[in-house]
Formats: sequence, structure tokens, C-alpha cells
Amino acid sequence: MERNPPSATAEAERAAVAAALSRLGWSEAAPPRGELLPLLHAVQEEHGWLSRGCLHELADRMALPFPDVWGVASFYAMLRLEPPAPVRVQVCDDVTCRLRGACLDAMSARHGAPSRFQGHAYPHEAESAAPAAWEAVPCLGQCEHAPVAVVQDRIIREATIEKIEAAMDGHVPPEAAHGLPEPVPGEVRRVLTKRPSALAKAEAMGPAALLDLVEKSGLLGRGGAAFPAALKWRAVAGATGDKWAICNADESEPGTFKDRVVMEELPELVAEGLRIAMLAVGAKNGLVYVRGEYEEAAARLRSTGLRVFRGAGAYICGEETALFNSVEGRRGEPRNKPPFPTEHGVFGRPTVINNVETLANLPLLVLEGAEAFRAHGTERSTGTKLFAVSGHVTRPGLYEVPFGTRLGDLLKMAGGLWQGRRLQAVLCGGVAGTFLGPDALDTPLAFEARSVGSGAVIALDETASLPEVLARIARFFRDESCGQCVPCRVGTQRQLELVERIGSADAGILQDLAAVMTDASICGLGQTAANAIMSALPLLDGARGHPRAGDLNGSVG
Amino acid sequence: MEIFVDGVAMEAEAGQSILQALRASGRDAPVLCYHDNLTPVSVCRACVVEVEGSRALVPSCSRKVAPGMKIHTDSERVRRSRRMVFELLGSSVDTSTAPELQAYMAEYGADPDRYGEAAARLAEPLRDDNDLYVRDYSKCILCYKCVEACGPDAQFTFALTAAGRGFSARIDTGADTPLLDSRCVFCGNCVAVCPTGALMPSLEQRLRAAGRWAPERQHVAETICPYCGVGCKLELHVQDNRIIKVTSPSDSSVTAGHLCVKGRFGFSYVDGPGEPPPA
Ligand code: SF4
Ligand code: SF4
Ligand code: SF4
Ligand code: FES
Repeated sequence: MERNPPSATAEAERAAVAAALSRLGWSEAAPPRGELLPLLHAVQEEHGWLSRGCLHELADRMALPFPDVWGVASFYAMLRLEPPAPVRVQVCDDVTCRLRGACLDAMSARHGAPSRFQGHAYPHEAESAAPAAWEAVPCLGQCEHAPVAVVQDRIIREATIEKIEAAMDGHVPPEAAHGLPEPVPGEVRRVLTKRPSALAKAEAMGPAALLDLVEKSGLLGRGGAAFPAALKWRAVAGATGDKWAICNADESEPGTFKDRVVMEELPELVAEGLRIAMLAVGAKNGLVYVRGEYEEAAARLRSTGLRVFRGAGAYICGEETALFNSVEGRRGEPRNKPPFPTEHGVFGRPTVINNVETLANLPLLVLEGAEAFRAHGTERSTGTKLFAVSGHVTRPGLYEVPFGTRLGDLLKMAGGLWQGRRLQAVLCGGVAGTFLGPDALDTPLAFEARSVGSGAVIALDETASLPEVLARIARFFRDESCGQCVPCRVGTQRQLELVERIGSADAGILQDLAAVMTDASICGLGQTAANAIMSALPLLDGARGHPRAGDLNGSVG
Repeated sequence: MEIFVDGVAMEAEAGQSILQALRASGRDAPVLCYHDNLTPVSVCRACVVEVEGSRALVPSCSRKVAPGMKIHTDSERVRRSRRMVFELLGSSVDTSTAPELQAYMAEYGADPDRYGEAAARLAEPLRDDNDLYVRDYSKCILCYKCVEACGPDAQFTFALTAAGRGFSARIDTGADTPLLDSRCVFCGNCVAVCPTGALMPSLEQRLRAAGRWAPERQHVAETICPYCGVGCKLELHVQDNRIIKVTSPSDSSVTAGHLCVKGRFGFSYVDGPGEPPPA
């Protein structure tokens, strides 16, 4: 096989791989395949990027075929298969940051067109080309501070072109401030509260009582699918042998930042939640899969002693079976279900996988019992819910309210629309969610009303261009599709092409695309890729009343 | 066990896929990524059927039958999704050497042209980097069959992978390494399972390009490979009394359709090297 001739480059590549292996404790033995993604991260940290020489060397040291390593490396946006620009600049161009005036135009005018990750296919040609000076990236999960940029891995909140350029010139931006803001009237802080440890009590209760407790509480998964936690738990508890409990912290749904705040501010809740889950289902192995961009959250979780696995820039890895493949060192492609994770999860073992917020509810539930838990929320959606409110509101941020709270009241808690503007639409549940018009402010936020999804709530004022927002959403799905199945791989591309000219697009084709993606895609990404866009179509033709922004201001009575 | 297909009760065996049960009763479903000798990946979604109680359609090629299952193979939903699958593929890849896909497009009334001239297509140059087979990924429907045949389902060479993601995902040797520098051992088992002609023996590609590929003048002669003691069954495709291609029947108990480089490509000693003379 042709390799780089022995040279200084080859020496440096070998040394980088050796350093990465020794850092992760694999100086002697060949690491198992599950170490691939952590090692790719480590090699990139050592070498700056993943040259072909590095990948060949890593493949050899792991006794893996080079194509397998390439297939994995080329899947993730954070892994660089080309030499990076000397100063790495990323500016979020996703829905919320655009609404809050992301400085994309100024960046383009002054630094040229950005690059944008769409999967590294055959990047050898790009290797010789000069890299773009900056990169436009999807939502970074910092939407309460929109617009957001990242320079040399350092986050810049409320970014301006001046702040970005100062950072490019080497002025290190200040550390992000921390701490939860005081609750506003109407908020009910149940999860977002420091409490004494619930672990001793959970241990005293034992698995059977914990399972009963979760069942009685009616706790539904907070990741978006609203699946009863008790059903998953019972299925795994009933399985024998080696089992896993995984915390899904791959929060990447645009507009969603709730899990990040929980992990950064109250990491011990997540740690306890996962340990309670492990106890209840009898899993010896626990793991938190944290989205690659959430470095701070990962560090906070590590400090609690949890085993943390970092993603590398792929929305799809939030899909549970894609997450398993990612952990196993494979491409983050979702699996066909059945078999379900409770039976055949990570490494083929029975696995319970829950979202960060779901797990963060457990200490409270153990300490206070099911009755107290159900005292908040609706009959079907029990407890409280974290909502990440962003876009054109006065106080973007994280709000904890009982399920059933009206959408309009939540927006009021966030200070109503900014700058005295009027409401055009609200996107509930992230880009896989639903647009609601100004006449839907009475909608209760509850799973049964299909208004929750990921917990993201993005407000658009009268000045926002809905067609532009829809095009950005369509591009998100095209860029984030794993590419495995036809309805989603080609469907999201065609949907983007149509939405980009939405005024003249054939509605019949859009409906056909929505039908095949929703009905025939393998996983939730393709199945929801048309949701927001189809829900927005009725809002596109003008004539309807806008409530005045003033209607939304003031406290909740 | 008893299952119901389009309202008709029929018998199926535990462990069977819906597709196998359909075929056992003389019915069928369109398939692109499914192959009898490969593990189903269920990615093309051509074979979807409606199963009562299931929110989305299910791939019949891998979903197992269950007692009392009520299956609809010809509902409006099923037909619409299948039509769209074929239409989406037809709108993005070159289907000129994919007769099954063309037939499905016609059968389901797919209209790939309605996305207009500007619709993105897979535009890949012909990769013609060795004497034995060419790769034209502008025809590739990403069915993963070649990856499986090269990997754990037959050859265990692991020369191929899916790379990138989304609409720019491609089959790759790893960093687009030319085949001669890659892990490929030229067994051609990927070529044999490719349903679109994206992978094609070089000789066939040259004859087609020259307008000299003439199926009506071809016949198949069966024989046993002369090279080694495994005794693989060969199908010699002969045009104008020259061997132009070798395959092996996928139901052969010896080969399951797979061969090695000698059996698949080592036939020029019969007629001499090069292309057959023009007829
Ligand atoms: S629906 Fe999209 S993301 Fe999911 S498996 Fe199919 S191509 Fe991949
Ligand atoms: S090259 Fe052929 S066999 Fe391989 S994925 Fe493409 S269409 Fe399928
Ligand atoms: S095809 Fe290869 S393995 Fe099979 S009989 Fe011929 S030489 Fe032997
Ligand atoms: S043949 Fe079933 S999904 Fe491709």
C-alpha cells in the first residue's frame, strides 16, 4: 500500500498517534474499536488535524482497516480532514443566531465566503486548496447568548464582528459567566434546584421500589419522544447479563440548550440520575454521551466521576441507535428498529438510554415521591419541564414551568417580544417541531398538545423572514442527514431546493416529500424533517391578526 | 403462524421476514438494497409495507413476521412512498445501466424530471484506474451491497466503506485511494452485487461506451473454474464467440455468487487479451 515516504511529516504523524495512544492508556495493546472516536479526538489535538498519514497510522495501531477509519472520520464535522486555517473561526448561522443578528454578512464581506460542513466526501481535492478563513456552523446550543461564535475553541457570546475580529487578533475572550438567574414569577423550580443527595435513599429503596416509583410518577422522556421512562427501565431490568445505562447529552436540536445549562450548573443532578437509573435496572456500565461542542459541560460531568464520551459534531448521534454506533467506533448511522435498545443496545447489550433532563428529574422524584412529583403538570405530562426560550424575546433563557403552562405565559416570563415588536410565529420543539401562529398562544405546553418536542421555543417577530428561516431549517436537515436511507438522503436535499424558492414551489411535491420522509425514513431525523416546514405553510399567506407585543408583557397572574 | 396480507389470511414461518413470507406465497415487493446472500441493511426503503399498529411504514426485507400481523402491500401510502423512493433516486443518479430501477420507476409512475434542471445530482467522474473494473459513482444508489460483499458478508477484505454523510455520502476506498493502492484484491464480488452498473467490469464498460454491448447476441455457458480445487461454478457470458464477462450463480452452494480474481477476471487466456473484434 502506498504511504507517505519516510519524512519529517511521517515522523510527526507517527509521534502524534503515539502520543494520543499513550494519553488514553493504549501504549502497548491495540485499543478496541470503541476507542476510535476518543482517539480521533486525541490525535487531532496532538497534530492539529487528521492527515491521511495519521489515519493510516491509527488504523494500523488499532488493527482496523483504513477505509473503516476513514468512514468514521469523514462522518463528523468536528474532525478535520484538511489542514485548518491558522486561526479557527466558527460563526453560528442557525435560526436563533440569525434572528438575533448574527454578523454573517459582515464576516462574508470582510473575510470571504465561509466553508460549511456537508460531510467529507473525497476531500483529497480540498486538501491542497487554501481553507476558508471562517466556517458557518449549525446551532451551538448557546442560543440564550445569540449570536454566538467560536474562535480557537473559545466561545464568544453576544458576538459582534468587533469581538470576533479581536479574538482573531489574539485577544482571548473573557470566560463565560455562570450561575442560574433568579426564577421569574410563574416559574416553578423543581429540577433546577440544589438538593441534598438522593443516592442513599435510592440505594435503600432498591431496584423494585425505584421501578415502581418511576412508573407511578408517570415520568416521560424529556428528549423529545416522550416515551414512558418506566417502560424502558422495566424492559432492561428484566434482562440478564451485562447491561448499560446511558445518559444522552448529545443535545443538538437547534434552539435547544436546556441540557447544557443543567450539566454546567447542576452536574451532580445528572450524575445522581444516571446512578439511580443504573441501580434500578441493574446496569454495571454507565456512560454520558456529550455533544462534542459542549466542552465545559463535559468537564463538569467528568468532575462528578462519570464516564464521559464526547461526540464530534453530528446531530444524528442524538438518535439513540446512532449514538450506540458512535460509541462502538462506527459511523453514526441509526439502526433499523426492532431490535430495540432495551434488548440490543450498545455493544449488543440491553441498554437504557435517557435524556439529561429525564435523569435530572430522578433525585427530586426519589426524595419527594411520586405524589409530590405529579402535583405539577397535567394528567399525561407529569412534573415540570425545562424550556429553552430564544429568538425575539426580551430575556432569552432557560425557564422551568409545570407542563400545561400556556405558551403565551411562557413568552411573557421571557419578557415578551423584544423592542415592542409584534409576534409573527413561534417554533415549538426545535427544527423538528411545529410552528404556531400568534393565534395559538393559549396552547398548553404538554406532550399531548404536541407543543413540547425538544423543549426549544423560538419566537419570531414581525420583521423575521419566515421563508429564510424555513430555508435554514431545510438546510439543517440536508446537512445533518446521515445519508443512509433514500427518503432522507435525497428527500432533504430536494426539500431544501424547493424551500429555497418557496414562493414558486409546487406544494404537491413538498407534500410528497413530506410523506415519503415521514413514512419511510429509518429514523426520527428523516421522519421529522418536514414537520416544521409543513406546519409553517399556512402561516406564509399574510392576512391574520398579530397580538401586540404589549399583550405579552407583564407578569403571569 | 397466520398473517394477513392485503386482507387475505396466509401461513408464514417464525423467523421469516415479511419479504420472505410474501415470496413464499407467490407475491413480492420491489427491492434495491436487498440481496438473498447479504445481511439486509434496509436502507433503500423500496420494499416498505404498511403494518397495522406501526406508525411508520416498515421495510419488508428485514422486519420479521409476527402472529396475526396485518400487512398491506398495495395501499395508497405504500405506493406513494415507493414511487417517491424511485423518483428521488431517478432524480439524483444516472439510471442508464440500472434496468431494475428503471422498471420500478415505470411501474410506479415516478417522474424524476419534475424537480427541474437545477436539482442536484451525483456528479462523479468515472474512476477508471485499473484493468479489471471501473467505478462510476454518479450511478450509485448507496445500497451498501458492495461494502457488505467486500466485508463481513463474503470477502472479508474490507476495502470499501461509506464515507461522508447526507447527500454527499459516497462509497469510498478511504480517502479516495486508487484501487491498485487500496486494500482491494479484485475479486469483483462488489461488481457482482452492484444493482446499478456503478461498478462494472472494464471490458463491459468499454464495449458499452463503444456501442458494442449487444445482449441479444449473448449467451451464457456454465462451467467449473479451472484454476483451483474449490471448484467454483462459473457462468461465461459469451458474445460473438468471445467471453466478455464471468459471473457465478448466487444460488450456487459453492460460491453463493462470489468468486476470486482468477475465476472472475482471468479468462483472457481463452481468447487472447483485449476486446473482442467488432462483429
Ligand atoms: S432518516 Fe436520515 S438520518 Fe435517519 S437513517 Fe435515514 S438518512 Fe440517516
Ligand atoms: S456502488 Fe453499486 S453496490 Fe455499491 S453502493 Fe453503489 S449501487 Fe450499491
Ligand atoms: S474462482 Fe477462485 S476460488 Fe473459485 S475455483 Fe476459481 S480460482 Fe478457485
Ligand atoms: S430492499 Fe428493503 S429497504 Fe431496500
